Amino acid sequence: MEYTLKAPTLQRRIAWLIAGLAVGYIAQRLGIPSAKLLLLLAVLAGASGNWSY
Amino acid sequence: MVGTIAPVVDSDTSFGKFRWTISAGIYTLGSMVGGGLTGALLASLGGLTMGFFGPHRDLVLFIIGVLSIFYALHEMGIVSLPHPQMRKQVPARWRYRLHPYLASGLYGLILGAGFATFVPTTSYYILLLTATLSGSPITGVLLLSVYGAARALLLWPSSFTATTVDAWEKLANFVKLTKPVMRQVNGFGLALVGAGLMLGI
Repeated sequence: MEYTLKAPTLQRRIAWLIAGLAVGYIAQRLGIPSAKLLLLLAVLAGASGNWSY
Repeated sequence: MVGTIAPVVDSDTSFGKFRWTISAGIYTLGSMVGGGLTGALLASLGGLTMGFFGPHRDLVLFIIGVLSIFYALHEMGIVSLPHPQMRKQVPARWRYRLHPYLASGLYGLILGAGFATFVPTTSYYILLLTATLSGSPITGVLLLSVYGAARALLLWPSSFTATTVDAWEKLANFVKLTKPVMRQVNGFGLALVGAGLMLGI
């Protein structure tokens, strides 16, 4: 039998989304350049590659 | 994936930790090269039509930002967007037929490139799009080689903590179990980048 964690509730997913938007806004206000944000995404996407099989 | 790659030299127990380390290093390098080549190719293709530093740079960043937020919604499971992929795995027979160093390098190249296997998160598409629309091979190489490095680097800590077949199975189960969390974290990251790009122009 295969076990996986239950997907979070819709409210929790929306909360994560809003949190992401808020942190992005703060990053922009702090003057963090777009290139650094994209590099962050590259690290995240790369690390997530280990979840594929 | 890490469960396939990490034991690439462990099938021969006489191989030793030192050679495993070399093999893992070759895999990491291959992953960075695979990503870098993909980024360079896409950026060169994109450069034929438009470049980041042309008059449309702000518009391009804005579009990437909007798409990031849409794909954040996708990762959160709120909407469903196209996410084409080849749905293939690296050839397992290479582990037995090729020298471990060669197998490691080839696995790294394929996995670092990203598009030739399963694509577990749509964050990868945003990277491909950015590399292409940047029109700058340097940007493409940097973004996708960082992707390749990050994809390979998790191998290192996990391989030092999981030293038995049983431990690898537990790790593989952990990876399966936490997939929803991984997607949620990617949704968070995509929303963050999307907001940053849209507001930063």
